[in-house]
Amino acid sequence: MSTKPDMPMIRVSGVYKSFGDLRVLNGMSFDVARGEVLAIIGPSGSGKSTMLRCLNFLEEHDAGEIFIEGEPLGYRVLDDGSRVRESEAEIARMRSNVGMVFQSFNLFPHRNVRENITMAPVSVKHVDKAEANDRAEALLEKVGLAEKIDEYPSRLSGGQQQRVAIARALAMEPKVMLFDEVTSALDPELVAEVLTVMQQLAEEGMTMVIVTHEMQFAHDVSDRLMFIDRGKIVEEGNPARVLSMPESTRLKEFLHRFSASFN
Amino acid sequence: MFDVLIANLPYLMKGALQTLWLAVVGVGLGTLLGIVLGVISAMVGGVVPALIATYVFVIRGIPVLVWMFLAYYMLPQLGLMVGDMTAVIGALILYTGAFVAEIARGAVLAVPRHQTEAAKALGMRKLTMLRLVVLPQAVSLSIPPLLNNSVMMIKVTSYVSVVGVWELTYAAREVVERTLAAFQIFLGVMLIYFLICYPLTLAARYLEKRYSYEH
Repeated sequence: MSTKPDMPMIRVSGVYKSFGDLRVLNGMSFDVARGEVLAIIGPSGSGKSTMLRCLNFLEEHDAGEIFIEGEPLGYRVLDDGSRVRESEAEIARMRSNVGMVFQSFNLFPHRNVRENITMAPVSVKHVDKAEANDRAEALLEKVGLAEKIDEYPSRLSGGQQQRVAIARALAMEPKVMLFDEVTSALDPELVAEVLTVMQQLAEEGMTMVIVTHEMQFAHDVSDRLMFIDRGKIVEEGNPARVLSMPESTRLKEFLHRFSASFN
Repeated sequence: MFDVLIANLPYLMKGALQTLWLAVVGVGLGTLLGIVLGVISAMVGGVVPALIATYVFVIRGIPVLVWMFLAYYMLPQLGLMVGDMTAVIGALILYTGAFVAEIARGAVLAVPRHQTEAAKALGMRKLTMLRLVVLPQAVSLSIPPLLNNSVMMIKVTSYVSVVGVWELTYAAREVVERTLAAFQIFLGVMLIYFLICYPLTLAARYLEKRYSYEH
């Protein structure tokens, strides 16, 4: 299937997901437009991380469909309603278009920063080694870590590791970037350096889906804010509006726990 | 005072060469077999891991001595005319393989899940992920237990003398029967086994250093 420019970058349509008896996603549907920054907030256990992980098939949805630029992700639904799992190669190809940054960085500890960044472009997209290296240098420059190119991950601070992880994901030239609570494991004084990089990406027009507890950041950077609870979208819309004038009781209670005001 | 040992040293060294050969072929191929089986059993789904687990349980649950007797006496009865050397080497390979399969499987499974998730998220397919992310990290985890197992299996090669395969221990018994100098001869044998095993320890130490990284 060819990509359709009129399709949204991401379309989530009636997605359900359970872990055993626990229903984590309870009929999620939303679109993310090209260049849009969507922030997802919600209490822990609300399903926000699971939803994000479904967007690159690290979690497999039980029902419903997910499309990236109009192409079905993970499963193809046939005319009779039955689902066929895509081949491993196809799933990998889809994933290579969707960058992901994790809460715990997940850099490869046995490779230095340069190799962490060039590994996937060279082995997956068969990018020429020298070209991958040039790109790694440029990306490290961009995240402010040019001098760390030959260091091993264990020698870097959490904030630096997370910025390398962002560079590693960007090296694949993804169409979408997913951020899964990327500042939650960081010391407070290291949070800003990571958020700055993400803000810059947003300004450059990258399509981003951000799961976060940083309300102020969600307010400042996102185009749209989505509050989910118990696997369902409770409220969504303009971040300033959603945060300053919450309509649902659950969002009011949730925001009450954050002292900052959003005006 | 070690005149008997010195006089018989060339003969013992011939036996030691035979022991080395058993170790390289039997333990070496067994280790390779085990690594392949262990990695497969950790990486694939379906019935294959259960089949490998059955192999491990059956082989591991019966003494290697019994396997050597079985290979030596049973294979010819089943119509497989193998020599005594082939029989014991087969038993050594299968026995080593069973233990190494568990070591390799454990090492692959010990690589944290978030590492494979990061690899998947970058679009890597299974074999690429295995080669670039999983195996390099599993290697450093498996070197100490692999060395342990190799040293143990090298000593197990001395059992092959029960079915009449000639090697260092067999040669030593012959010399002792002839000369009655048990103390001298077995002291020498002890040293020779140690000299075979010790370089392995050094090699493992070097490899452990080479493949180590800070977490």
